[in-house]
Amino acid sequence: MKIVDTFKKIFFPIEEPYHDFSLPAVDENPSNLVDTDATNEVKEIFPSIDVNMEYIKVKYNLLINSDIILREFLLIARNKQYRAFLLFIDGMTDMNLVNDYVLKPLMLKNSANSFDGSQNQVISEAVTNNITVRKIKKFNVKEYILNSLLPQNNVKMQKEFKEIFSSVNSGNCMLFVDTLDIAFDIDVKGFKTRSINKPENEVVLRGPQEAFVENIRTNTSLIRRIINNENLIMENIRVGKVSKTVCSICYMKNITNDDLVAEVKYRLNNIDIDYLVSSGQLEQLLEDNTKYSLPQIISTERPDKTATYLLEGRVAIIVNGSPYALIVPAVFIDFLESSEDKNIKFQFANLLKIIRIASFLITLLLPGIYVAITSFHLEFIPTELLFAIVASRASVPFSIIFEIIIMELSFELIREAGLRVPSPIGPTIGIIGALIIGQAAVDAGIISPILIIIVAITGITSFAIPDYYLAFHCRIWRFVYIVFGYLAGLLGIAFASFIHLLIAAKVQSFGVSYLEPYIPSKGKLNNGLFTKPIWKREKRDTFLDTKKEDKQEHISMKWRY
Amino acid sequence: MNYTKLGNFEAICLIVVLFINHLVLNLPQMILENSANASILNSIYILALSLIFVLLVIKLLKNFIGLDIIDISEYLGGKFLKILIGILCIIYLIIESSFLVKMFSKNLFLAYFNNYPISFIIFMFLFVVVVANLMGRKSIIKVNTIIVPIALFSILFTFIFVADLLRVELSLPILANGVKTIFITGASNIFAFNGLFFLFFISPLLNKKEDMSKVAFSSTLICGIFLLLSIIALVFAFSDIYSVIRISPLYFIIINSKLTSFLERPEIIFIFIWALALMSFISVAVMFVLNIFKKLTNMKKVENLAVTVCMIIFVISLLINNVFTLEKIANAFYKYASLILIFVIFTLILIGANIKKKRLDKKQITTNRE
Repeated sequence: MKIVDTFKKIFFPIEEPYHDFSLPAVDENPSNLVDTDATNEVKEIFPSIDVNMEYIKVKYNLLINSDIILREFLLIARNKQYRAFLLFIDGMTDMNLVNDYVLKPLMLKNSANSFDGSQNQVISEAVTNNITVRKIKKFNVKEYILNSLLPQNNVKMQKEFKEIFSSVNSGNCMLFVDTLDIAFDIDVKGFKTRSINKPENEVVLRGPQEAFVENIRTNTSLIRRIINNENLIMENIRVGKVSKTVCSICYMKNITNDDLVAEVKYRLNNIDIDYLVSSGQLEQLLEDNTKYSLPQIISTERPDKTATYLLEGRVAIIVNGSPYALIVPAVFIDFLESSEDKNIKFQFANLLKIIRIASFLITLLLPGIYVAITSFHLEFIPTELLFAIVASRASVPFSIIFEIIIMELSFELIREAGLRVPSPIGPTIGIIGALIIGQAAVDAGIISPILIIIVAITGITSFAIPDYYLAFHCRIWRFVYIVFGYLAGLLGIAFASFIHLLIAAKVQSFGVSYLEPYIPSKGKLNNGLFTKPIWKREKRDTFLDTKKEDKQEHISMKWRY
Repeated sequence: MNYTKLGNFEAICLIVVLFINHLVLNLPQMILENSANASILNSIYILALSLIFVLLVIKLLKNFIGLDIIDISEYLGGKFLKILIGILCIIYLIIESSFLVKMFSKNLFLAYFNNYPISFIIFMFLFVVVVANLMGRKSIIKVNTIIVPIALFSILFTFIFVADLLRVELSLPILANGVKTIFITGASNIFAFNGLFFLFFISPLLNKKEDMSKVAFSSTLICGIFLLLSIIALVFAFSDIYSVIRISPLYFIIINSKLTSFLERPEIIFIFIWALALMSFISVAVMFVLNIFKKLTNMKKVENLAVTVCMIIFVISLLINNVFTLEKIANAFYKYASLILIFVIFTLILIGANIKKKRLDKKQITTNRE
């Protein structure tokens, strides 16, 4: 028998079934082309509870969706029973609130609830000539539930399924009652959120130590706590057809330019995407010029910085789920400003600004200038230094351009690796990369020691730039300057600078030129690159064209006079 | 021309940029060759003349607020004159740019890039100009507004560092070849203010049309002061040798100034800034060429023609190889073309248009009375 089996296996092999999965192409599966959501869309809710329940079960895929809770029960109103159900998402709502303040009053009998349901409510009674005149109010179950059975501070009546789903998805609880063509939207949100922590990326020594969190309401409250003014408006707009992410547009009604607010709303209302997860995505969707790597929107995790910008007349956008606020419009000099600048004396702030400008120029130009000078303009270097450079490069077999590109790429690699590795090993990677590999490369004669100094200075200065995106922009453009410096020396650097300036001049942020307040010149400069003494900060930026130009009196320190 | 509106400062920078490039290349030398030690007096004289000229132009332009010289030509002589003047302006700007880029590249070649062909340097300049024009007018104007003040500061610095070399006795004899060369033949040196060419084009671009006179006078004064300073520096410090200087006079001043005691060969920084000024000027020139072309042809989009214009500039700049011939032709073009086009043709057109307007207005009044 075994011999026969073996013979069969060899000469008549049976094809064994195997799992072969491939996604059908869209045109092979026509059902994919139909948007089922759109075809079966029902607008308003039905009076029949069964129909509503079935529709919701289908919509929420209740058979497979584990966290959607649909709780059926009998609602007692004036001794009458109504079929009802609650709809909410487990984890998004506060269960204690649902149990104690929604289900309990609705299900349990109490004295107020126990008289006959068909009785009408007598509002007033008057007897004239033995005729009794009673003013009565017919029993209305909707109003009765709303006014007597739901001890909640925020209850709305919803008619449309769209609104209902939106509320349930954001953590509310929905009450459906048989025979009613409305549902009660009860605010019982209670999901776990991260507590307010210290800012991690915008650390300051003098200033508040609070940072935004992922919850939009917490973030708006953080701003409201700083700006105690009724003119602070926070309008909500939902972005994303599927995710329906809440974005809050914050501005000062009596300060911010109306056109700017309208433009922000227009852009947010006209974003046609399926989902929005972070403020970083929104930033890219809102930018005027997407081709260029220059940052065009300020992104901050600090409520105090956001509040300051709002009071200056700018608009902030907060995205639910993102611990960063976006501030528009932004100009180049904003990205060189730290939150610290407003909190410290103007002399210190300006010194720091000069250091930051120098850092910006060094990180952008130093490697390019090094290549340019060592390739074309050796006469520019003092003779002793020239000898040192030549001696250090004597054993290096590569050209300067190759050497510097290798070193810059290595530096970028170390930086990226340091970010990705688990935090306890991060510093080790930096030390290994910087010290050991660097030293080994110099000893092996692969690179010159002077280049290590150049790359190290470039790296350190890049960290002095307060804005992460601007630092990133410098990292990219550094390579452009290196190539141009290699091609035509300092003339090449001039070519690259000219193109760079052209790009900066081309960029706009919500209609404001990137080089404002200097270019285009308006003959009036309220605020510039450098910080004025606090008593002299009398005006808001001209380019914002705010409703109120003055932000303080000409003499603000009145106690002196 | 309905493109970006200009603030006063932007407009001043547009007028001054052409002057800066000539100043850096050889303008002081040209004036010194004409008037020798009397150049100081001569430059004051031509500044006064140019201010009078500006006053005249402003008066003549008053009747044509918001119109440039091309529109005024059309008003005076119909389409024919419009096209003729348009073509003349285009030719002037293209040739001016070609000579400037060639002369600057030649200087760079002599000083730093002996191993590179001049054509490569010119190509690099024009590549940047194409990029600039593809980026749009707004960018060019804004960048020009950044670069011009920096260039002016750099020039000012050269004068500061040459201050200790100045000796008044070197300027003697102050009248040089006599009063005639200063005030009669020397009047032709007004070509130094050829940046006023753009004055005839910026009227429709200005944000505040009433500020035209401010712009015109400020830019003329800036040009005049810097011309005077550069001539003072050359006459007071290098009066005995300026006639044999064959490189950029400002470059010569820097390499002989006290600045070298701080840095080794610091002139490269200035070359860097002046290269930016040249790129800025050619970008502006090509921008104006394209806009004049747009006006003449009623084309909707002309930005892509920047490549063609730059290719023409490239070809023209390569036509003359001999450095001395180039210098002679470029100087002659700079002087005579500027004099004829700006100070004669444009002025005549303005006068003619004003006369025509007065006649038409008179006619109108008589018909209205009848």
